[in-house]
Amino acid sequence: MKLMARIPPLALTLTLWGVTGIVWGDITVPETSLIALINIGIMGILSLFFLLYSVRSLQNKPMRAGSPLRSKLVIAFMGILLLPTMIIQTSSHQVVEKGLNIWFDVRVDKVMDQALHLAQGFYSRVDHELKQGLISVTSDQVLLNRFSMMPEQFSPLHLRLSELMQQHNWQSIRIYDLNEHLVANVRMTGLAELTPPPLSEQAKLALKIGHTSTELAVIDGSEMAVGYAPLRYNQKIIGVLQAEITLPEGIVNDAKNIEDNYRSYRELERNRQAIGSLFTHIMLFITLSIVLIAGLIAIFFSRKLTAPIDQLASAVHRITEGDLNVIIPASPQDELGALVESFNQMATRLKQNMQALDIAQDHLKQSLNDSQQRQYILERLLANMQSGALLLSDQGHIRLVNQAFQQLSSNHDDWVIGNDIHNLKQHPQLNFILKFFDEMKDQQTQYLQQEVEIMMGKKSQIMLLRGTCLHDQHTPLSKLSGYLILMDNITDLAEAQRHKAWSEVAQRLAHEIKNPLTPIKLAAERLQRRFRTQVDDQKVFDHCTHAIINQTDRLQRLVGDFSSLARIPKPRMDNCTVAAIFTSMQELYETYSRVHIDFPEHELPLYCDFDQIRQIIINLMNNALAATEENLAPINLYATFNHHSINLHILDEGDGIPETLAGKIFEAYISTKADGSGLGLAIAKRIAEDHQGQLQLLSHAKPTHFCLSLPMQTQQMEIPL
Amino acid sequence: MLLPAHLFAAANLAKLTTTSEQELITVTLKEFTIPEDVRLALQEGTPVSFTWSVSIEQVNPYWINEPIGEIIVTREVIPNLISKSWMLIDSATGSITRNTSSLNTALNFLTPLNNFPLLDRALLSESEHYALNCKLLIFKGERDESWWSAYFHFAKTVAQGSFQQP
Repeated sequence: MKLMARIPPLALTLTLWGVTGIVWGDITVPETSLIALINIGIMGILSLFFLLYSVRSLQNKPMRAGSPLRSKLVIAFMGILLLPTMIIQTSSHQVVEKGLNIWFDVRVDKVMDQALHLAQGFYSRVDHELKQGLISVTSDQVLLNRFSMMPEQFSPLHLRLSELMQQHNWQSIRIYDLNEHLVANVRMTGLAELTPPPLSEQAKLALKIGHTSTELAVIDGSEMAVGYAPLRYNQKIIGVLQAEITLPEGIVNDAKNIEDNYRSYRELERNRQAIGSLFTHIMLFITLSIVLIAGLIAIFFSRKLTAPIDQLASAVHRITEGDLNVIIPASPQDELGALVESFNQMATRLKQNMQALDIAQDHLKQSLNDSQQRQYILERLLANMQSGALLLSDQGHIRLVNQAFQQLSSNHDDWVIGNDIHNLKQHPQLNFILKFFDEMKDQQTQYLQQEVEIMMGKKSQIMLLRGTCLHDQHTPLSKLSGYLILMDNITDLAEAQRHKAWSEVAQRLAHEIKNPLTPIKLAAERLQRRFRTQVDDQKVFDHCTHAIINQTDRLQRLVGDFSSLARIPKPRMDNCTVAAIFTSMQELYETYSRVHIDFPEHELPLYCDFDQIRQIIINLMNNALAATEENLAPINLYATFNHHSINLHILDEGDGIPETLAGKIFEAYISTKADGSGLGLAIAKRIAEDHQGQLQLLSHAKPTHFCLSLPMQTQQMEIPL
Repeated sequence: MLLPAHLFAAANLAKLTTTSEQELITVTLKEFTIPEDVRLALQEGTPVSFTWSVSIEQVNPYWINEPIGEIIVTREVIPNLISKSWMLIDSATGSITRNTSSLNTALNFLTPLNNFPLLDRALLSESEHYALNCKLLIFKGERDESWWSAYFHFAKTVAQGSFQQP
């Protein structure tokens, strides 16, 4: 269908090119060159127009709205006009050809020749007679003698001329001398002119080259045959004779008319081809002009017709681009005008609706922003909370879980939003959460709180679980919408509380026990000094008093430890080095050959309470010495460091710590020694924690490996790692 | 595509030859034939005028030729069908006319380039090459003296020649 639409303009273009080729040769014909050029120009413009339209339609480019319709209207209009005008063109060409054939018919040709022959015959007779007369007169010796003796023979010359004029029945005779001056003038009737007429070209020829000639002329309204002949005297031209014969009225004019008509006829006959061509070109020009004007009119009207469509398309395009401020100017009161009006109404309503939508969208955006803001705050709050938070749906699906909750539950990967909490059954260590949730659901209480002790690795942890039912406030019956479970690791808090309580008890006990111990010891020593010699059994007495004194010392030491644990002073932080600590250790344990101290290659500065750290190391070293007392296994003390801490390691190959006690080794009253108070490591751990560090048991046996980590201070960062 | 006929006429150009006579360079047109339609027009009473334009240029091998001079000769023949004669008019010499009853004489009158004086030798340089170009404008019918007629009537080159100044 599209191909069919493209054929007419292409066909018109090719037709115009064909016609251009046909008329191209007429450019060289002078009679038709101008009109041929004009026609070729018009055809060029038209063919260019059609060609452009063809090319545009072949390119399949999106055309401006209304443009195809406009082009089709113009093409159709011009095409409709072309057909009849071409028929007229062809018909008129045939008519002209036929008319020319009739015009230049052989019979006409013959008549023209006969007319010319008639005129020539008449003239030939007059010419012959006049020339005979002129020859006769110019050979008249009397005349020549009298003319040669001018001006003396003026009157005789005139007399002779009058005789000759009457003899030949001429109308007048004139004689001109070599200077073209009128010498004699004789007329049959009337008076001679005061100012003689100028010498004709024929007369000049006769005077100059001695040529006798005749011509037909109209002088003073009379048609005449005029002859010119040279006057020779002694073989020399001395003047020219002009004789005139009056001809019957109309003869000369008729002869001239015949000559003019014959000439015109023959010119036309010679230009017969050019006349036909000229007529064809004129008709072609008219045809092309009509087509061109029709095309322009068609363009004008089609533009006017398609302008509303163009405006509509443009307006629709603007609306699709988002510009709703589109109002098409009023159109004529026709179907297109009604369409434009409807479109304007539609655009206005669309604009109003879009404005309402924009307002609603703004409100929604605002609400969304508020909601997002709240959600962001909530998320930040949850993320920064120390407590773990878990938000569950009423069916137990995870809605929200914060980082702290995942860390506390030590299982990061299973907390996926949307998962059912009952899927956690596969993780026994998380069953306490599931159990708490189920209990909360079963009891249907608004709030539930439980402390749960669980094992995480080898450590016992105390978790505080608090659960709250959430209700949808927007539903009339406050329907249950979910559960919020908060979880806190209160192990440290519980321990601190226990420690605090224990410290208070310990202090009071130490105070109450310590006071009587000194008098007891002093009393025992006094008894020993005063009554040792007075007793019967001195051995028993010594044994008893020594036992009292030893046990009192032990009690005093125990009370001292209790007191120390309860009242560990705040560390007095100062700069020192690992090497300084190791040096003091070396001085202290230099008698023990199995103690090996590796001094660090680099100076490792510490910011700590030197005495307290030294106390920790001594405690650990003493424990190691005690453990290796029997097998004399080596004890190693060395230091390592990383970006965050400096680590002091104590290793021994002693008996080690039973695995059952390994997890509780830092708790009070836990000791592997028979006479140990079980407070040394607890105190050491407290001191380490007071330094923001930690004391760890890295290996409970073979080797027994303790590590004291102290934080790396900012000023210590110059250590090459 | 049809092209103007004169574009193909270059191969059929007539020749222009020159002769040196005393102080003048004269030019002679050879191998030129008057078109038959001119003869027919004169026979049928249509006035015919020939305007000859002979130009001479110094040949520059690597540049445009330098114009030296140009002469224009106009000859006109006006037939008289009644008297079977032809009036010969040389526009270059003013009003000198003559009648002839011979058509051949009239036709010969239209082609005057026979030992026609072209220019003074003093205007030419020695040992230089010169090119001659002859254009002819044939006008049949009464001459159109209007100013615009020149735009619709173009002279055509009918002969070319060359010579070397000794």
